[in-house]
Amino acid sequence: MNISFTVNGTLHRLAVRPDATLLTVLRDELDLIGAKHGCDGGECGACTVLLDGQAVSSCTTLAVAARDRQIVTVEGLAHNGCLHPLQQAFVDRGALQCGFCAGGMLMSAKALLDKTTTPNRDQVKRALAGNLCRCSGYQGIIDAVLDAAAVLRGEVR
Amino acid sequence: MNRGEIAPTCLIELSRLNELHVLDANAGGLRVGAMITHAGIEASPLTKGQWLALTDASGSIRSPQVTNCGTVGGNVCFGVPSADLMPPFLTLQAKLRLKGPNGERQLSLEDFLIAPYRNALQHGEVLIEVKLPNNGKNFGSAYCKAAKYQGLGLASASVAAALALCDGRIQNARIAIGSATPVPRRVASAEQCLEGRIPDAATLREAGRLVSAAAEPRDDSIRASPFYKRKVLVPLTERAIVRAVARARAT
Repeated sequence: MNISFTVNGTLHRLAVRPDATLLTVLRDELDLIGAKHGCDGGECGACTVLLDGQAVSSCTTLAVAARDRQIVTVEGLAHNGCLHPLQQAFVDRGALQCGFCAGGMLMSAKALLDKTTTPNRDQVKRALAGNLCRCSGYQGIIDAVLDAAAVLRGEVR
Repeated sequence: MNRGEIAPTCLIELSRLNELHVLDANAGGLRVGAMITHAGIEASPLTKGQWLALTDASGSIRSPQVTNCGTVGGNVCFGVPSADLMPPFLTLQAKLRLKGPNGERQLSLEDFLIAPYRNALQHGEVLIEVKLPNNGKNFGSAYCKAAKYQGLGLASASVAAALALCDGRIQNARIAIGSATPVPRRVASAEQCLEGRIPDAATLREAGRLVSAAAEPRDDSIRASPFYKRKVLVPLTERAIVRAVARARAT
């Protein structure tokens, strides 16, 4: 099927198989490998991207279902070589161990901070509930998201 | 499909069919389209008031990635015994609008749910929408589940209650359980025991015991033992009724 969608601000026209997932198209056709191929069943969250601003598992979203929509992947967070406040906070907090979950964590956190820049700790936990970290670095990740929220509020640089 | 277990020769993508995206409340009741997501139910002002059990159920699903993509149609048609919307839909007397090559038909949710992962859909048929009749004044509904992850995991056991209050007494009580029977179903014994009663502690406990007695958990059930399921159904039932009563008073 011929479809088009916008990824990180760039319009792409593609021919995709009807049964291709958004994840495989992003990774294999567009070389955007920040969304990870984890459980392939919508359980681990490593493949999370934003579809029209909502966090979705790209492994259980058909590519054709994303036609004419706006997609943001983790590659779309940084601008002009400057890390997004979330990414900077992950670096500063050491919120990464193996890093496999980080792309998905960042996108779920982005979906939250796009809605509110004043989340409490429980709201952050809830927003990240669909993302598993097997290194078990959750506390650092939650701290980083709260730090980034403070930056986005303009309270700290 | 991802796991290679099925390889459909034909795949139809449903996300842009407007008919499946209906969410509408009117004099006839509430219509919920098959492609309405859990996030859509939770966020809508239309699923409040008498329909709050639906918001309880869709809001009890943990992962945003699931609530953003998971649909009413998927919850109804997949047929997993723990599907969160089934007990609320049963107590709210859901009718399903089905459409297929032979035309359209309506089926009650009770008749639709046949066995775990099996339903009454015929070949080529799809669920269009779920229809719920209005319930009148002083009516409240609620859904409670026992689950890991601060109550947001897959249900180990769940109870929905829907009832009206008349002079402080319960009327038209409807109680349904999930994750404790092969398919979610109503519990007539508990409904009868509530009829005309004041929701005091003894009444709640009696209803809880009847719900627990109606459970048929599998010996090899995954998320909780049969013993635990039977035990937890008592307070879950009490909680669901108390919430439904409070909501009935508030309307």
